[in-house]
Amino acid sequence: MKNYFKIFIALMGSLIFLSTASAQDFSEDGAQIFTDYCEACHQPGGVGFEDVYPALKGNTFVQGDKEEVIYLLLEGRAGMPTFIGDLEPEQITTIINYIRNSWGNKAEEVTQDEVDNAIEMVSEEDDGFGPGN
Amino acid sequence: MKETEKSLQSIGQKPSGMTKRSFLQSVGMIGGTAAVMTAMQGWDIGFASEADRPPEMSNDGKGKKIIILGAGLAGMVLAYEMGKKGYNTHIIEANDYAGGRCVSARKGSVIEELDGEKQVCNFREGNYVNYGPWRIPAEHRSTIYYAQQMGVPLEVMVNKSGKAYYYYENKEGPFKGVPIRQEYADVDFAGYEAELLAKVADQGALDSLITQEDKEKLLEHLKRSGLIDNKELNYRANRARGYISYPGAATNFGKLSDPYEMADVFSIAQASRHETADHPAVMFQAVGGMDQIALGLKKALKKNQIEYMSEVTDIIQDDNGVEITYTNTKTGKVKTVKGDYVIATMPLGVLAKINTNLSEDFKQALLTTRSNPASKMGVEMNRRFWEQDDMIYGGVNHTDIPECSQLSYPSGNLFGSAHGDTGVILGYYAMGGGAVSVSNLSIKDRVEFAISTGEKFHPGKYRNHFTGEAMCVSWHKMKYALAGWESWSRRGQERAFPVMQKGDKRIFISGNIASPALSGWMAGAIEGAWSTMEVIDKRVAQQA
Ligand SMILES: Cc1cc2nc3c(=O)[nH]c(=O)nc-3n(C[C@H](O)[C@H](O)[C@H](O)COP(=O)(O)OP(=O)(O)OC[C@H]3O[C@@H](n4cnc5c(N)ncnc54)[C@H](O)[C@@H]3O)c2cc1C
Ligand code: HEC
Repeated sequence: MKNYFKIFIALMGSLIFLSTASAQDFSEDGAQIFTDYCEACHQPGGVGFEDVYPALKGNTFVQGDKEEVIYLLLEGRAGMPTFIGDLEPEQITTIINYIRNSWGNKAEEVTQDEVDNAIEMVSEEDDGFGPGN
Repeated sequence: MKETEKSLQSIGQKPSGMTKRSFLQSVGMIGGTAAVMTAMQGWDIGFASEADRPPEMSNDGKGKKIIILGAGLAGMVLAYEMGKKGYNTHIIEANDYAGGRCVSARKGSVIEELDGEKQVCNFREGNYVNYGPWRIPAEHRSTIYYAQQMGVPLEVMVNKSGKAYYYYENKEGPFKGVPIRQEYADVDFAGYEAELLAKVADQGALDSLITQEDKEKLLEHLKRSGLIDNKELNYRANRARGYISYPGAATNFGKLSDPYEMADVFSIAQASRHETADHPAVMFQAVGGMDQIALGLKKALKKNQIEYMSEVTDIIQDDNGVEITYTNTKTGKVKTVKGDYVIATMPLGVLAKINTNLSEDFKQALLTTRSNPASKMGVEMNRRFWEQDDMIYGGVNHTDIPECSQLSYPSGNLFGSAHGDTGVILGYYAMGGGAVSVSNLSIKDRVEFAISTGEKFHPGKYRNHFTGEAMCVSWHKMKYALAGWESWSRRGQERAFPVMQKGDKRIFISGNIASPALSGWMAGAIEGAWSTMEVIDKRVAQQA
């Protein structure tokens, strides 16, 4: 599991109460992943920002074809980053289910198998030296 | 001869029969390596990248009007080179400055991300931070070419300093949360490797893998490395790792530092990573800020060749030309301009929001790229304590904190000799997910994060010497970039890149995205521009 950055920063300044909700419940974990990795662009509540970052709330693509959403998270698209290097496969499943079932969105859950299969399809060879410029 | 073979193959000329290679071999036999190299240069088979100067273009532009969208490096290179040939070039730029991502912050600079917190730089005279590009490898001859053409002096950027630190706080082990000098970790790792290899070789464990003769050469090499003692083959304190007390006059023979325990060293992940061709230890930067390269290009253009504060909103082509609609970001005034060809160099995430009549296939191709978020922070210090107290002159700290995977000490103004005892540390450089999570914070919290991270390396000093002046950016939140850089997914590169490269009738895409293998490098923007001008030049040449 990657560490949760925003909580960490909050802890530096003040004491906050950390919920100990069960990890099975994707809406807890999903909310945290959303805060750390998505909210900077798609905004709290998934409402989007002007015409730059699309709203995920009430979005038909988000609630549509599972595979399309999975591939989008893994490969990115124009202004949208890939998250394949930042999130564990389980976290990718969690965040997809979270955006498909939050803020009034409703869609069939994606399974870990579906995500794992897609990862196998798109994963690129890692030469071991890491990214960068 | 292995080297020769490789460089021949790398340019696609497989040696065969009575070939250049056999000739080169015979030259090599007589004259040695130097003779081979001279012969190779005679054939233009260089050792570095082929792309070290702009392409020859075949025609004088035939009066064609080329409208270039974006005055980044790519846009300016296109305007400069095509303009020189006779094309009528004009650049439309949304920002109020030229350079795009090739930019630095110094006194007076402004950075404003999409959600509107405005930063105005108040660094002292001479201080700056390269919040875009910051290092150039020798391999990037195209970038160096323009620095030289434009008379922009380059200086060494120290990319690897043994005195800089590794820092891991998410990895269990004795070094958890403890900064370690890179030279200690690197030399210890190499030393224990040498010890283990020498011992297994000596005990005969490699006999099934290498010949007796090679084994002896290997042992000789390991012993001569200085890292292990010649008898017991043990790694021990040595001059590569250095001293805790450096020698001096008379009877001061100094004291070598003691290596870490082997098992502890093995718990340091990064120490085994090598410098790469594009990240060697010694790199280059423009004196005074990397934006000098962009400014050099700007100066080489004609007055009024760039139209600023002009945000393109529509790109519409028909059989006779392309019409660009753009809005003055200050006055709101809308204008249109027509050209024979358009070259769009804005990042594709930005282009995706612009109204175009590109073909559906072409639009889809552009969407197979993706944004790579990147965040940077410059923090100004009122004393160069890292130099004076810790002997760190340039170099990059590596950490496992995603929001600060790198922290870098300035390579310019060493010893404060250029403009006094101050300097700007690159407080964090994050990419990918870490760049996103740090961009979630307010500017104030980002600065606090940077300072508290710096305190891990320089406790009691980092915060104390911070002048309170900082400048940060998250490129994926900059309206006209929406990414640090963009790249192609593997599938995109195979299927969609060739579609993009051809252009769509009168509309061409250029800039960094046109160089998939150089994504996130200035060389990618420059060589991308070169490849686009070649495509257009051929197209124009075919027309009667
Ligand atoms: C954090 C970071 C670190 C980097 N490090 C390095 C490094 O160390 N070494 C290196 O060589 N390279 C590095 N790079 C990469 C390098 O900066 C880029 O590849 C290069 O500057 C891109 O040039 P470009 O002309 O393709 O694009 P840009 O510079 O982005 O130019 C595009 C231009 O289009 C304009 N534009 C956008 N939208 C519109 C619109 N609607 N209408 C009109 N104009 C518009 C923009 O304002 C911009 O001026 C780094 C980049 C970043 C962000
Ligand atoms: C750097 C900003 C940024 C971040 C961070 C980001 N996105 Fe996006 N996202 C975008 C942009 C821009 C688009 C529109 C892409 C395009 O042009 O088609 C997008 C598109 C999407 C879409 C498709 C919407 C549609 O209507 O087609 C989904 C789903 C999505 N993002 C989910 C996420 C999730 C989940 C995260 C966090 C894990 C995330 N995004 C993080 C910028 C971002």
